[in-house]
Amino acid sequence: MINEQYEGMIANIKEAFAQDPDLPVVALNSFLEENAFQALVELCDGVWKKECIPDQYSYAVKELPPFDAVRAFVQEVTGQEPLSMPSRRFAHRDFTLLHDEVMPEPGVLALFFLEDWNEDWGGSLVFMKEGEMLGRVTPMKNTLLIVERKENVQEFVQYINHKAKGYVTMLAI
Amino acid sequence: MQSWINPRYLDASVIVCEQEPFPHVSLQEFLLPERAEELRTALLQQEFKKKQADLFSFAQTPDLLTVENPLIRSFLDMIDSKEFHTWMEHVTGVQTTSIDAFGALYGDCDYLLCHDDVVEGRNIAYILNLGKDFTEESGGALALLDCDVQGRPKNVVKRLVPAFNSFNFFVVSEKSHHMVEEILEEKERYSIGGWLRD
Repeated sequence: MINEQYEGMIANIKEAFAQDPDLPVVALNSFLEENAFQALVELCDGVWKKECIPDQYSYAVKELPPFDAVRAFVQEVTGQEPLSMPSRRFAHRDFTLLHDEVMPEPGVLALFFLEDWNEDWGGSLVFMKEGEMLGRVTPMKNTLLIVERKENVQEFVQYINHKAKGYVTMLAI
Repeated sequence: MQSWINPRYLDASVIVCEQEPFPHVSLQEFLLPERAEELRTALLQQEFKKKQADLFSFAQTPDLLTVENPLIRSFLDMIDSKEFHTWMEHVTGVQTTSIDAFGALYGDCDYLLCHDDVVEGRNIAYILNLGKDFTEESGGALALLDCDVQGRPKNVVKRLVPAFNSFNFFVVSEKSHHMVEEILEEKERYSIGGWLRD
């Protein structure tokens, strides 16, 4: 189900991931084979439950079965078990904010994006360290993002504005 | 104050401080019409720099207290006068003795998400709206939120449309959760705002 070309490229992916010591990151496009991707999109149909604390976050969540094969792939690349987090869907007026007091725990984040997205709509993942931006990622359809969140790094999802068409889904692997 | 403010607001005892969801006041046609137009013109000549973070996207002037423009100077002297601080205390019951001030510009898609403004010394937050042609559909409202039992912000319970020459202020506290809603049209929401301090 994982695009065959990636299975033979683990060494290259490891190398790309290790490029930036402050923010190890790699984004793999066309990650799933087309039929596996379509099956995943169908699995994500249905109701997502809205969650909002106005000074912390706004998005919708859904319980999904674990993605064991993709998880194993992430572990092979990073040597770490990805952090567990909710699968989230962001639409107009959704966002997450940085935490003022408690830093999130360091570790590997593995997110899978379902939709193509335009950075002018908001919805980019922005990684920050001590007030400085380390990098930003705009979601792309059928793309696996692997990021290592080092000490004192945290990310937010930029507020989604009224230009946005539809929603963007970030599955937690 | 007489040379700046609409005469119907000079007597502080006629102004009602609304209490829900937290103490706030919204006054329409606050400045004398000619003064409001002049101040808008002066503000538009200032340099605005785009600021973006997780919480906001808008453009801001440098500290207006450092600006040499005589009209902006004169307006800030008025709101920092003994007479104005006394007027404010009559309306809100809160004492203040100094101010700070910035110009802000929110264009299409700009916003300021929910926060409470609590910083040592900030007693009253104020904003004078100098953008034109805003309606409910334009976005850009100053939205006030209530709290749940744990004191976390919950729902928007009041929206103040940023009408030209409207003056809004509120008492800063753990309860004063507010936001500037996203601008939804090609409009420019200019304002002068800041805090009255103790």
